[in-house]
Amino acid sequence: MSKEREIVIALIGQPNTGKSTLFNILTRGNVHVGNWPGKTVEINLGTVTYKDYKLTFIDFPGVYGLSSSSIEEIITKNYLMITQCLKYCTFKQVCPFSKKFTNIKIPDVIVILTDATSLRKSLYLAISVMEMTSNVVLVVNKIDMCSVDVEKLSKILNVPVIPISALKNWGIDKLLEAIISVYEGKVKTRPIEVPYHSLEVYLSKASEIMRKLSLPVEKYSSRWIFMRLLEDDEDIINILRSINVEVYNELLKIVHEVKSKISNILDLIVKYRYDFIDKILEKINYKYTPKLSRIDKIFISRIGIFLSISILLTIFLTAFTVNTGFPLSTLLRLLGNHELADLVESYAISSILDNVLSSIIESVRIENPVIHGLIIDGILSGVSTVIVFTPLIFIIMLLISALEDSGLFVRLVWSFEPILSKFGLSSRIILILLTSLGCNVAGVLATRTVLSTRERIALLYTLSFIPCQARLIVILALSSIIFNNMLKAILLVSSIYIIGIILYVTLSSIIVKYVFKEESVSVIDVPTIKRPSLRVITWNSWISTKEFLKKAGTIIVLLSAITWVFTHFNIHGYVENVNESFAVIIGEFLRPLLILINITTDIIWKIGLILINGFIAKEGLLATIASLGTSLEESWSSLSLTLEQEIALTFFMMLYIPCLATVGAVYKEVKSVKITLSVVLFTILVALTVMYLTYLILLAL
Amino acid sequence: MNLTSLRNVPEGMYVRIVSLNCGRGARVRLLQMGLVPGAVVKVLNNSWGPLIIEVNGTLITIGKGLASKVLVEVLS
Repeated sequence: MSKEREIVIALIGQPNTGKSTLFNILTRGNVHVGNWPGKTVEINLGTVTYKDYKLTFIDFPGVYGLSSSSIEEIITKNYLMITQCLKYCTFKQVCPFSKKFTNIKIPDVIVILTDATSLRKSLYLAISVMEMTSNVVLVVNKIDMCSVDVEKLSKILNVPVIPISALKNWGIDKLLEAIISVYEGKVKTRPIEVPYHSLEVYLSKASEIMRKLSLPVEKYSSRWIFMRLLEDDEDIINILRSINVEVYNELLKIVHEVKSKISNILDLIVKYRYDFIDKILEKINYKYTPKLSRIDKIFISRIGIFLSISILLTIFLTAFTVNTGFPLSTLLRLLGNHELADLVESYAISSILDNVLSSIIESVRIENPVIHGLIIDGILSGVSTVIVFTPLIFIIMLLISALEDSGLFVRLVWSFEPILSKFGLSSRIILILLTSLGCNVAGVLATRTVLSTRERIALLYTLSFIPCQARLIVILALSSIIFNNMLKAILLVSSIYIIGIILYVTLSSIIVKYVFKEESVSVIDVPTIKRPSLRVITWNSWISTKEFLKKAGTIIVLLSAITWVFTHFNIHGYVENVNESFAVIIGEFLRPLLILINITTDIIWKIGLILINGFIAKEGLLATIASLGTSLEESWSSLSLTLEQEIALTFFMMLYIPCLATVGAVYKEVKSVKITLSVVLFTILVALTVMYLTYLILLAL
Repeated sequence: MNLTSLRNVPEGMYVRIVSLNCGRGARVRLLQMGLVPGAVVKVLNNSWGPLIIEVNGTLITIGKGLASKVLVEVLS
């Protein structure tokens, strides 16, 4: 054959079934990342050539079932529903989702992944999918850990069942062969019919109505359409309404009839599905009893929290030290060993990168000062910000992926649970807190470990209140200028940390509870502890880092260039002196805000300028203050602020707007200008409030 | 029948799920995990740490707040 035929394969599975490992093996890492239309959920697509075929794998987010309780489930369910609509129904044109999904491919084969060590639960998703579609290949992963009679299972479910071990790379060729057999129609599969016992009467009534009023669906589709209606699925309601209101109204009557007779219909539906699964498991004689291991028992005991804290501290401190030398270098200095501290810092990744980048920047020679400035200070400094962040992001992502892939993450969550649940908090916020203490950009990426999308967005609003390493340097410098007294300086530094962390913790739980009104769904399944797959974690981290470089990088460089223009131009054109640029006008805008703490001097634009540069990177705060006078101390005192104003302003500077790179990363995660801007605005408002309150309290003292 | 909430069940006991009295989101997740009415559950840990249960071969952690909304029948 001269031309390869393309087979589109959807890969669906529950979390912790080894789906990313399998996806990685199948696609050989040849992947690109996209987004579901209009959603913040990412989609991985991978293409690989096998025999005469071009296999395109679509990796779906891990879901437990096909209800509508999370964005991930809605996406998976709608995708299946729509591709089934387009395939079997004639209502292509009226399908309300088909427009949004035009760029999404229709799957030829659906691969459902189950887990041999948790077959009952993972079959639940498989059954739910198989009720909707045919062309299924069922995969039983982790077959090396627990045996399953796959032949019998295949006979009962009437689909190919392939045992594999993704971690050990077993059975992959058989899986590929099975995919091709299903595609070529050598194996005939069809949707399964779960017996719904007491609901069967209504199901036949519903099918009859759909047939009589000639709803263009196949026989088996009418079953899941009606089951979806019973489960109050809004998407199927909308589709039905738009195709045929008459059918919809008739069906609705039956739904009401069922609901008047049976309370908690949802419980019953799921129970029938599980009864069906239990019968299957009995037939194939499946037995597996998971136990808590010795390690598990340590994590759930009282000493678990100390173990967790030491694990987290070790890995994060190592990551930060490798990246910038901090906190090891600071510790060494405190111990009096300045030489070793300098050595640690000079061999840290970011300082090596810094040297390389600055030598590159120095070598650039451009005659025209405007172009030179724009390229060097505007664009290249933005590029180097991105590059300097990259290793840290890669390292942090590597550590987080390793924690998740090994199953250790759930154990860490266990050990924090008794303490955090007293405050009504989810244990996952600890990881984000620790990551953000190093770098907020990495913190933004760490929010991916949060299961609920809403909780994730709430955390994006608040995590930038956590002081990062860059801000620590600024706080240390400012507090030593403001106070000669060491004790008072330390008090200021710690109060900034305490306020930042309190704001993060309380505001995020308030947003989750009162803005998103989300009940905490604190149910997680427990994966067995295993050696993490190096291949998967490096690949995952590399994909995340690459995406960061591509998406956030563009924004960061752009914002950096725009800020340069603002600080080097006015209406008449290019200016050498920042004092004459647009920045001064923007700085003036801040006057009404600074009046809050009685700052009314005419040098207000200086503070404005400091704040603008602090937005690019928090380190910029110090550099700008220094550049306004002969030294940091001198120019700070030239602002002639009272002690109360100094402290209030310091609080503001530590809390307002996350740095430019964080804003870029937030945008990359939420893909929405509106949300990103509201995050920025929110932080400014909170910072203003804290500034004002601090000022009032200090005055009252 | 000896009814109580899942939260109060001591370690090592077997219970049968009677009803779930929580919101839709949590209910759906509990059901998906196999905590359907009638399912038999073994409580593996319910002391200092998290509440860990086994439902027909699956280990699950449940927040104690949510567990107090799950009504169970204690089996001897």
